Amino acid sequence: MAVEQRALGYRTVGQRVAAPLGVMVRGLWRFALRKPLGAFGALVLLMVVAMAIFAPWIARYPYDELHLSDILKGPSLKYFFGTDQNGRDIFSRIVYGAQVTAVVGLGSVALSAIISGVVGIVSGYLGGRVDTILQRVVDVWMSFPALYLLLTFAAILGTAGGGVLGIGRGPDWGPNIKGMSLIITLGIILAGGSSRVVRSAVLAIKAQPFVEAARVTGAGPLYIMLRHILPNVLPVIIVLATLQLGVAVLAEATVSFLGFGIPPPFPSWGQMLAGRARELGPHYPWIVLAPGAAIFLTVYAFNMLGDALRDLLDPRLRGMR
Amino acid sequence: MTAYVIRRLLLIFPTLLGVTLLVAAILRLLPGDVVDIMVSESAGAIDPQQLRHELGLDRGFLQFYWDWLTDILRGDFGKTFRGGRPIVDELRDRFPVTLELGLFALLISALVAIPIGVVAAIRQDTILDYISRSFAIGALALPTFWIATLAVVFAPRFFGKSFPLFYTPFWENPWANIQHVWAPALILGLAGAGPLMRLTRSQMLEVLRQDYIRTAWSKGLRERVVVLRHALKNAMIPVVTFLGLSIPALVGGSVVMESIFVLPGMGQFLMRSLLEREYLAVLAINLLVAVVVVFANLAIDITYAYLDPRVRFGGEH
Amino acid sequence: MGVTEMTEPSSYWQRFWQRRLSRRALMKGMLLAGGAAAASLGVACEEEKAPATPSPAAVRTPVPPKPGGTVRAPLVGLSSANPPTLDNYKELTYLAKIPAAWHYSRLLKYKAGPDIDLFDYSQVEGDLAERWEIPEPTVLIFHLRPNIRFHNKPPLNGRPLTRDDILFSAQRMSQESPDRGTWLAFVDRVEAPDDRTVRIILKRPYAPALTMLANPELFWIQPKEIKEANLQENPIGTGPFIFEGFEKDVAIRWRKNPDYYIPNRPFVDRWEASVVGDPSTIIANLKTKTFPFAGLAAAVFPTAQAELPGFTFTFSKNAVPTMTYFNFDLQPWGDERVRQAFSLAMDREGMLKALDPTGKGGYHSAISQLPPWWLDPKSPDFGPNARYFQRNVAEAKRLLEAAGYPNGLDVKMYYTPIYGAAFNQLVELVAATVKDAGFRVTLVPQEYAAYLSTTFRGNIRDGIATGPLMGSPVDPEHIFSTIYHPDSPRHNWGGTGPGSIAQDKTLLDMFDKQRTELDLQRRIALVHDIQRYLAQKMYLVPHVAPAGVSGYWADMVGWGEKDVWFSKGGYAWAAEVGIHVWLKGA
Repeated sequence: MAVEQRALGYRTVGQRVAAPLGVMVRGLWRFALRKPLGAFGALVLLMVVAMAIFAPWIARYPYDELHLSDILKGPSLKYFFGTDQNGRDIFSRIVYGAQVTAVVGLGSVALSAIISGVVGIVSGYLGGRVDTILQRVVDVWMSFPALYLLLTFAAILGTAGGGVLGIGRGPDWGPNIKGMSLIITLGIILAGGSSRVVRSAVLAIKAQPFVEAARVTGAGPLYIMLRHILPNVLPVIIVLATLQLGVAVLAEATVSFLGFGIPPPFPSWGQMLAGRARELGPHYPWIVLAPGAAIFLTVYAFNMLGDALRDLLDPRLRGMR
Repeated sequence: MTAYVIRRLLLIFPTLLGVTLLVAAILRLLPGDVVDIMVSESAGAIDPQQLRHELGLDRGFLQFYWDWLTDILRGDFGKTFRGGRPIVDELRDRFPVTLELGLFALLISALVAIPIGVVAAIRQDTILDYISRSFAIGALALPTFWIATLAVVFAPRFFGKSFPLFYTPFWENPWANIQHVWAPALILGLAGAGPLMRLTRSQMLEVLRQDYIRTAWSKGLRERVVVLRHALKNAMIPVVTFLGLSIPALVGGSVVMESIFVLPGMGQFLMRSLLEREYLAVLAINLLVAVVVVFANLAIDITYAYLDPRVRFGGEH
Repeated sequence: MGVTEMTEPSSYWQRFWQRRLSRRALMKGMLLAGGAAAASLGVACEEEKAPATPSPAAVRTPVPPKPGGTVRAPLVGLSSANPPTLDNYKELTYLAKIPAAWHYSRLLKYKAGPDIDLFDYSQVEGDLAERWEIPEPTVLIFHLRPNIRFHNKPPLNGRPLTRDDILFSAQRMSQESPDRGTWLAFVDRVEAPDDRTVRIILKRPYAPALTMLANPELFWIQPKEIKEANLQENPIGTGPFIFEGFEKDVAIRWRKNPDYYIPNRPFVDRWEASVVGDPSTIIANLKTKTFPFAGLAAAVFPTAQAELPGFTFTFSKNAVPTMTYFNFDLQPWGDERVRQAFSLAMDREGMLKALDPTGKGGYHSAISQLPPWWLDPKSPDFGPNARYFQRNVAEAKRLLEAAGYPNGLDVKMYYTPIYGAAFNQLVELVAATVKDAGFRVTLVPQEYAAYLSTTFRGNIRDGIATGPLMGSPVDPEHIFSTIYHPDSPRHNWGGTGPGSIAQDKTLLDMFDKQRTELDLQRRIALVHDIQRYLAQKMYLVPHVAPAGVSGYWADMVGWGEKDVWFSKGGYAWAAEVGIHVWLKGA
């Protein structure tokens, strides 16, 4: 059976791949060569995470330090990306903003992937009553306009909310309020739609003969879902996740626009584009170029990475050039 | 199949009940109500007790919900707390605007994304592929509210006049209407084209890699046409899902686009109603969205069954 | 799955922005516009042209006004939005009051002219009333103009105004209007012995009576059959313009009332008031000369300057009190030393630099910058307490130490972000500047309704709050009785303990005295004293006042017979200035 599966191109979990370091490094190098855009994407991701972690060292000034005699100054040696309307160094704020992007972006997408994966697989594979009920729940879930959920969470959760994963101990270490509730809200919103996509992919996989075969040989549903369905639906989940990374980053920007994002003065790239920046942007372009470019590059890179990952994870493409 | 459809239709009512009950409950949990807002905004004395009684806000939650439900079943969507405007009038005015914008945007997304996705898949890893993908992702990576602002600010420079301030419905004056709606629709459409293109591409790739397709492809040009059609049909399945996912936005509207381009749509209405604790308006909008979503999902599921026979027979039992 | 617009909630409300139906929106716009509400054009004390080719109207030689044409302009500058109703007695919001100035009338209105400050509401003139006398301090007798008629529109068809209309409107004012608290605070009853006489009996001598009677939040005269004939949203009144229609999210339209009691007014034939408050849209429309004028804001001044060469800018004071406020029962905020320290720690000059690119802003005192009552904290007249407005970090630290906080303290500052980008910037600046003295501020944004129902009324559980407190004050008594006085149902402070306003007999006596002082100059002196006193007490800490900004195209629009620009703040701009506007291209 394992032979058949591999012939058809599906893989099973449990095939341990021996990976001595040298092989892995060579593998990475080959990846970089073959999928340069994907490699670029991975690089950007690493940079964002690095900026997030090492922000207090990379940034030149504290993110909320006012330089009131240098308001709205252009890029210079003193201020790499110029200063904003309160005289704060934009470069430093971009660096700290990476923390929000990393935590909120990755966090909400991860949460969404988990939720939609579980719901999609369970609903798609088990079918019948379970599917019907779950799909009705998804219907309910999706008919909440995202706006509504965001506002409600903002109103109910109000202030408070602790840090995430150690981030959030204080101003230098991350957005210390609302990061968590934002992640949860965004994760839930994103998961609604993706669960249906996952489910449709699961339906297609379920119809494959090897799944039938597994069932016939007495494998239980949980086993099949984990060992047969999940690995094959993983590419879909991953592509969805990387697509959503961009959406999550943009959504956070929009939420900040509303004033329900990470509270000021902690910078988030989206928040830096909202408010005054809208008015001042056309005439002091550096205010919006840096955060706009940061968002753009990040979203772009994440998508490229997702593409490359997908191509790699789908074994049927391996060996095809 | 018919049995399945009937069963789904029967389930619609409990689903809607569930949605509205949940929404109503959360609304009541939110801190502050419209009377609180009015008292705080006024400079003089309003008797909150009396006002609450007049507006019916002193009813218990279940009573409130039951009254609302019975009103809805009679077709009475209620009035706004402030100003006493019939909510159904607002909905009637705003829903077509949002729908038009949404459909227009969706059309643009599809028209742009699907051909590009298909081409990118057929010519995978060529320059054309890279360019298409870069373009698609570029479009979706830029914040729409930012582009919209720039558009409005710089329109006079490029077009010599600003975007219209006064909305004209399509049936009154199609040209004026298009002039108003093309820009936000284009921005939204391009932004949506990104994910759709990626999805189309990856699905096309899936299908095209299958052995029998590859065989047919290699047979020559005539075969290719047939193959393309067949491949397309299968690739459309998740695409249909994606389109279906855009439905809530179709109904819920986009607050940013609406405010920047002055479109009297559902997004602004929902936003305002939420902020101002207009419970009845929020419930009405929610109901509308829920109805559309539920029916749309049903339609999509039926379409799946049509497009993919495996699903039809292997899916729901 | 990433859906196209799945999360595009964002309101401008902030902007967003904004989208508002309420005072919140006005406050936002007013904060931006520096308090100049309706169409907000600033005082004529300063005009500044945007750099570029000199405008042909640089030398103003009076041109005879030309009648005719259609004016298109924002309903109320950057705060424009949909009125929820056109019945001013139904709603609180400024949006329900401002349109009234086009089609309804009051007994009195505010004087407006090139020599009168935009926000000076102390000078009134007759609207429906042509003269009045005050035989006793609590009796006001108004004699109405002859031959006042409602608009010639069915079903009223130009019928004359009668005493029934006056009494009907007075009844709505005192029984139905959400603003009746303000009215009933001084009006006992309204009598109309005949069709041309109105007697208003006050509860007690009330210095601001005439100003408040002209207050556009209050007494507009409606026809008595407004309800039976369903005229609430299709108003027919005695005002300078006749209502034609309201397109939601678009504009309100009027045409000129040919039978208006002022001859040859209004000049223009039609008026379209756009309900779009988005700054980019407004500037864009100014650029294309769709709008001949508009209210703007200090915040958008640089953009407007760059986009509109040749545009004439006007600047004004800022009469929106934005303050930091407290719950006095929550320690240490009952201790005036701590509040003083907070004020001393704020860098007002720096804040102005960041918030006000016009360079013409100033400091709020306890009553914002409301003329002619405002005492400038930067002027020597203010006295020794002016020092509390000047930044002095050392003194702040000293005070904090004396109050028991040698190492500073952690503070949560609540606010709601819905008032717009400029306000959010202000909040960030306050938080950042007080840090130097040891106030470690954490900003806590709250959702609007939650904020209004708790924080705004002083119910702050663990911190302080900042926000605009009133949209359009017309008189110091208006401010005192709304924001400060313990009897107000929505005063912006909490606590009844020893440190609270409620226990400050001196202040309450001062409030009482100025309320009954009928001589204007003496009253101004009393109000100055109150500002000095409050500067030391800092019950509410005032912030800075970015200048109000607006402007017009000198080659498009003229102002009255002399064509010298003037304006008026407040909600009744249409009736006080709008009637004198004429179009040069017409």
